[in-house]
Amino acid sequence: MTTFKELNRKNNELHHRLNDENMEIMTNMVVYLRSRLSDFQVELIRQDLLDMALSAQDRHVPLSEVFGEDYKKFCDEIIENVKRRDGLWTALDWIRYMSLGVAMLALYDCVLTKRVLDLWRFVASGAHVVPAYPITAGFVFSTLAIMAAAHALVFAIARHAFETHRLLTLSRPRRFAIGAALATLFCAFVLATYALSKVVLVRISMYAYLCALASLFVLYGLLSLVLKRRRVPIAGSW
Amino acid sequence: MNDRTQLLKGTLEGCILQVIRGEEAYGYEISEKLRMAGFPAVSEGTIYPLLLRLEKNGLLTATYRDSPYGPRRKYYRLTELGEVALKDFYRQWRELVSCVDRLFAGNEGE
Repeated sequence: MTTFKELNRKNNELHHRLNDENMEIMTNMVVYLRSRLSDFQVELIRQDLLDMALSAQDRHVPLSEVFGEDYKKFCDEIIENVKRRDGLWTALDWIRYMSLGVAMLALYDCVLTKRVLDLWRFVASGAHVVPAYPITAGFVFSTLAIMAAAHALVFAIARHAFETHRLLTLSRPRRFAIGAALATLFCAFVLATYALSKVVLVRISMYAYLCALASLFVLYGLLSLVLKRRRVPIAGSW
Repeated sequence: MNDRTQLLKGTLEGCILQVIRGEEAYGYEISEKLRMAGFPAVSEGTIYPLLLRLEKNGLLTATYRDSPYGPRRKYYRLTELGEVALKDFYRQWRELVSCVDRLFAGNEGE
């Protein structure tokens, strides 16, 4: 029985058998496919593509002769013809990333706002009153903004995997304008987070906060285990 | 009408079914058999999305086996539904060919 994790490891090993040119083409195709298909579906397709690419490399045939000159079109045809959408597993994968993201941001909030010192003082003093943890509008805003930006960035990179050279060939004023726009957005984000951090939405027990934090990490771990142990079909009935 | 690929597109799926009718085969084998039959510029990449579609529609089934290059290789086999679709395709193809032949034969004297 092969699991998703084993297939991923094997595919990664085979990927490194490709020469530099073929490796770049294969990387772009895999990244592009990930914009529309689940990681599991992509890994199964990647296995087929690696078989084609390695056998072509062995025959000294360029990949353009196997997949055609337009790799994006080839990938679009694959996406269109994949058996079914992997809805449940895609949702589980999304929850997994979200739980890790929110847990990490909650941990940063705990450390950066020095609430962790309150906990340390509480433990050291042996006091009976558990300190409260303020959930601020700044924390909620920054968490939502960072998660949305991360998703948008990953999606944008995947969708434009074949067009990265276009960004590099942009004129200097255009690149400057893009850089300035991103810097402005970042400054606006920092200012808004700072302003909203003074607005306390609710105060919860430090224990409740830490329990929620730990639960998110546990959820991430459990989902990772389930997803990595997903069985890869022997027959192609996926 | 100058794009031969468009003309081939519709018939390629039926021809893939015919290639794997007798015995199971993998992508490169199928593309080579099609090429030997005279289909120009048919690579594994050309037929891979078609194989996915035929599999999605239940006309063929696939099994993974180890290959000499490392990745498990996908071998395709015709299903019962595929057998029916192949017969249907060939009947329609013969009808189309005879229609076109009749049309051209009728216009030859003009």
